[in-house]
Amino acid sequence: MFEYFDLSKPEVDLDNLSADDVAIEVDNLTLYFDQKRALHDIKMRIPRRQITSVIGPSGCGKSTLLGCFNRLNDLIPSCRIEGQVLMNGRNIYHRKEDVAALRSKVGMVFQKPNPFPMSVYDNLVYGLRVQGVKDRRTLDNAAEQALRDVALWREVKDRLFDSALTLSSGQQQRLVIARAIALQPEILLLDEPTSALDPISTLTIEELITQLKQKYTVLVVTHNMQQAARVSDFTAFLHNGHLIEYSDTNRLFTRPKEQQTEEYITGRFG
Amino acid sequence: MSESSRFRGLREGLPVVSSAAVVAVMLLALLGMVGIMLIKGMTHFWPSQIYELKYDQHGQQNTLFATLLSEDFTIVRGQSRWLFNQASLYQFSDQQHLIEERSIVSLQPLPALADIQLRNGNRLFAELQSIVNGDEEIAEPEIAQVRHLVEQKVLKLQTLESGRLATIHLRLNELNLRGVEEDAPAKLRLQEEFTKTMSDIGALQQELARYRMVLRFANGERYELPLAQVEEYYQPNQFDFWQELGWCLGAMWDFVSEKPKRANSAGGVFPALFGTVVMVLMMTLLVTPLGVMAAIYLNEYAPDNWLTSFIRVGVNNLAGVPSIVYGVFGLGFLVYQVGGSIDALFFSEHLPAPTFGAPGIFWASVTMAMLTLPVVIVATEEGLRRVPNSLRQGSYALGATKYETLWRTVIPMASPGIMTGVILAIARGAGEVAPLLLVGAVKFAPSLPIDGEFPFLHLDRQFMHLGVLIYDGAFHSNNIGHGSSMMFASCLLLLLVVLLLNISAIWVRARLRRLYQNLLR
Repeated sequence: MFEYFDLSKPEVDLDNLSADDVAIEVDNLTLYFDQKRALHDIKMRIPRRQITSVIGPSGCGKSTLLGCFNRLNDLIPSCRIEGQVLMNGRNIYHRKEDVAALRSKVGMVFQKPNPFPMSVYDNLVYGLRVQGVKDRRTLDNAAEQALRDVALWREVKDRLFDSALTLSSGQQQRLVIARAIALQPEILLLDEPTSALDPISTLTIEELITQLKQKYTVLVVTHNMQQAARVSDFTAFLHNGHLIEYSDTNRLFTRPKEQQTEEYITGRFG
Repeated sequence: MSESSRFRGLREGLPVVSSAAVVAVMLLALLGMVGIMLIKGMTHFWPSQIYELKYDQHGQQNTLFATLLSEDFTIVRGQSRWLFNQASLYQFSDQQHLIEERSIVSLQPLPALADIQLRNGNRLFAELQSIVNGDEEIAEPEIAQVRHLVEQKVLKLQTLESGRLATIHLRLNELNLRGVEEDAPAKLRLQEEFTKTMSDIGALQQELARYRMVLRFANGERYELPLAQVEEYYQPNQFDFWQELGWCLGAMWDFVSEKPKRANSAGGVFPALFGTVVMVLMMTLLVTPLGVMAAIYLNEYAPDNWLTSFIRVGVNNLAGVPSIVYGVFGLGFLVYQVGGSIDALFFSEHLPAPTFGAPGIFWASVTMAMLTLPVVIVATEEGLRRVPNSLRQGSYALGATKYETLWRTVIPMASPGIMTGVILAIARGAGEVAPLLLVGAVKFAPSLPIDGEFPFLHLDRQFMHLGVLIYDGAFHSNNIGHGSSMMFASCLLLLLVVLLLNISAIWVRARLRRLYQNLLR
């Protein structure tokens, strides 16, 4: 397990990020469900091509925060947002923002594998087809590349036209990641991607996440602190909708600044 | 302890027993109904023995050729009465006779007795003595050959009469309209052709007249029946089981493939079968997209407020409106208002003869589509509700808009639910009669709604329907004996049609379910 502990200091300094290195800048983000506040004045800068994990007890707003980055929260009618989320200097909550295009640039993977009841291939090219891509060769290449990126190619290359539902749940989860990757997104949002999987599949996915860092900015929500420690470069700790602490993973887990963080990571509450 | 456990046993056992009993009663009722239809309907096809019946009537002896419908039909003052069915040349339809058992003198199945079906739909029972050509008797082995010959000549006669003669008439008429003089060569040629055809027809008729059946009727009268008038005859008293079965199957095929005769009391029911199936299919094609779109709006787009709830309640209530009300609505609004407006706009040259302003198969299908719309809406909404939210989210997360998500993921996954609605709609639509009586189904339609004539599908035509045929034949016609067993056979056929339509829809649904079953569990 410790081979994933990267005890060396990360090459990026969170406090002195250059503008190019910021993938997402969250600026005083407050989110309401009806009158109830779910997120309070979140301020954070998420570095490009790094793995950032969000931890915290159940109901603290981790998933809600993730849903702000591809505006999936828009689907909840009672949800209202104040503040800004900037990507490449643009506020994604601007009223002229093309939400569908945004979501094709910010891939998301959910807790439970949710492949569509179609063939593996159709799952992989779903996003591209929605974009209007019809050229068979483009689709084929994208599908193959995505499968290779998630190390699923060897396992399913002979079953591309079988139903995706015939894959094991670990394979399904990797397929769902591949489905998001096939669109060449900038950012990948993973919402507790391993909580429904067995330990072996979890290990495979974690390995995969560390590799995805080379191409994508990855955000992982997890309630498994060991996982956050193993895979991520930076960790944010959320509690009751407040961002308690946000720093590089080593420091957060070894020398937390806030008492609440320390109590949480040592297991005294949560 | 024993007291409470006994009560508990009762409490647990009673629901099981009572619910099972209710199911058993329902099942028995259903089986009984199907059984009656099966038995009564099959007598229409299965050949029954013909008897020579001699009985006393006021001291006189009478003779009848008849089939026995029922022994002990009624018992009056200890006297059992038997019911016989008699068919003779001089009566329009079969006659039934109730005869006291004690007055029966003899009852004999003479082997030569034949059931003869005529081309005009009538039938008669008579003793077949011989088949003659001129004055010579035709030997048994050659009869089949002679009948084939006669059949061909009859066909030829029909083509001459309805084909050649009719065209000559039409062309003459055309020439007359154009004001061509009487001695114009074209006209003379037609006249000549006309006389030649007439002489051909005369010669054929003379030839045909030579082939006759020599019959003896029950009263002893000898009668010669031209073979050309005979559609089919058989001698059931000589049949063994396999011949009976063969005859029965043949009669079944005729029943579903031929036109009705003698005011729907004989012959087949093909036009009614065809009309029923075409109407149901058209209804399905209309109701499915409408119902699915309405359900999608209600479930996916409509805001969750009192108006949507009100619409839902309204839709559910529509399912309870008596079907005759739909018929009245279809006639008043669709046929007269909408159809009348269509006529005024597009078919004004035909007015005052209506085109769409009269009952027809299209309006019947639309009316039935409205009748079955609530079923489809409710079932589709149920199907849409069962699509897991995680899949919608997955689709949105890949950059699909709401419409794309619906079209690519939600609707395909809800398709088993949609098919459930379609199945229920078919079951309801195929069995419904009352509204059809007002909006286009008739007792007799001269032509089918689909034929080889442009534009092939004739939406404005009236049509025949099995349910209407049964309603009319069973309650509004002087149909006894053979006719009433035909109504039971039609019921059976209608049941079979509904079953087949349902099975095909269920098959489609099963295929769709297999595609999506892992997710809908």
